[in-house]
Amino acid sequence: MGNESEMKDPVLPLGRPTVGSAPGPGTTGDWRTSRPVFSEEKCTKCYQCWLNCPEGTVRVDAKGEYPYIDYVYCKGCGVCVHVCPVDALKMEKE
Amino acid sequence: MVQAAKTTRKSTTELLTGNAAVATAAKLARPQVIPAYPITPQTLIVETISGMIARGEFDCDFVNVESEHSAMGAAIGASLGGVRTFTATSAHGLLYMGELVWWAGVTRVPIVMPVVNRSLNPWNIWPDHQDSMTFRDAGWIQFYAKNNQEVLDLTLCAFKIAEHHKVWMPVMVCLDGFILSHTSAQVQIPAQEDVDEFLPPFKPLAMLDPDDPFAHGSLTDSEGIWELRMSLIDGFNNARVIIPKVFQEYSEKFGRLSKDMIEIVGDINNAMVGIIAIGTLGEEAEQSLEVLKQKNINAVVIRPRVIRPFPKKELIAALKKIPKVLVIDRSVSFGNAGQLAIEIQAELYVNKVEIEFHQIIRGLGGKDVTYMDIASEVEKIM
Repeated sequence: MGNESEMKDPVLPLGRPTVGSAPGPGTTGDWRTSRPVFSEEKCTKCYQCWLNCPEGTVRVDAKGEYPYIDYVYCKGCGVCVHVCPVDALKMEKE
Repeated sequence: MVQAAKTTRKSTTELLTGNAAVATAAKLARPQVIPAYPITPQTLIVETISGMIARGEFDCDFVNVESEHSAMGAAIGASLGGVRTFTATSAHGLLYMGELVWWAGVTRVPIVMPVVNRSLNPWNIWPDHQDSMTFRDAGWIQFYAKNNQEVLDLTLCAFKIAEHHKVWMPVMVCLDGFILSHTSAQVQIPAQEDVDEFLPPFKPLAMLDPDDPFAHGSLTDSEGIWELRMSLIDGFNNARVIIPKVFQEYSEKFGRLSKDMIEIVGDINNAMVGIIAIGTLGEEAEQSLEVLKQKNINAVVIRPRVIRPFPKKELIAALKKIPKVLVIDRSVSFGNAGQLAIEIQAELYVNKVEIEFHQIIRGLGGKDVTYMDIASEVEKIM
């Protein structure tokens, strides 16, 4: 024990920002009990779902494209379904 | 215990109060940031240091904070920014910064903070150990000084121990309010060059860096907390080894202090009774030895100068040599007993030491405890 090089180094509480650092590993979509399902047929590309998603998991790649949902992070809150004016989204049980 | 100093650079001897000894040690240690808030009886530390900085004698950023909570917050931030950091407080100030005292302790921020011991509520400015004892479990190393010279010596050692890469934790240097803080005594002040040799510049283990960002102490799950707590336990075990090494180095260089975490005064091999006390009560107990000798009582004083890590091995080695012990506490764990007594009893049991054990609580709220009082308490148990 007298030998300093054999002593354990301190563990410091340092956290670095990484992709998927939340438990699980980072796939917070696991928390979902219901998922929003999107139908292109009814969609008018008003992007209200994209605008209102509190988690930024409704994605639009370019103007004029259909929105789509990133289920890896979507937690199934249903806000997109609620704000869609043309019922292009509905909730389904996982 | 005192050995001849190896270095020959001239030290100076001055008449200093305990608070001035703290300020002098702080200046010699060259911290780069000092956030502090004044509180009786620590105020003169803040006044003296801010005066030194204002006059340009001490190159350091003094942060005028609005409270002790902010003082410790700023100290943690400065230390993580990669600089040697110092602050000081007392009693209610220590309680007010309490949340952040724990932050600094359990997240390993190597700040050095003298605590000028003062009683807690209701209002009282006189010394007892209740304030710092309240934080003995907060992950800080704790020293208790017996006189102004030891205040200076332990403060200088505190920096080196706190910043050792196998220790890396904050240190409280406790000194009794007024008895030390406001009483002048001779203090030998080492030369700046010698202190610089003993205490090289701060070398951070981790440092906040915008180019390599990290969060310190962010949300941590149970696994992470477990790992940190186990590491802190290891850190204190490392400190048990590092502290005597640093004390030894200091004593070789400056001819004061010794490697020991406990100081023994008197002839332990022929002692009929031991007296255990910390801080100035320990030195007062030393004065009682002569009085007791005249009454044919051979006593010995065993004074831990380090309370965290608790010097179990050293205390047990000493207690095995004596038939009887009196532990004097200057603080209480209400609902149980004095903290020193509780912890020593536990070690005596674990180590199966047969000894007649006595405990008393004295000096709360600054109630005077003289060497005659201590001598008569020892007489009662003989």
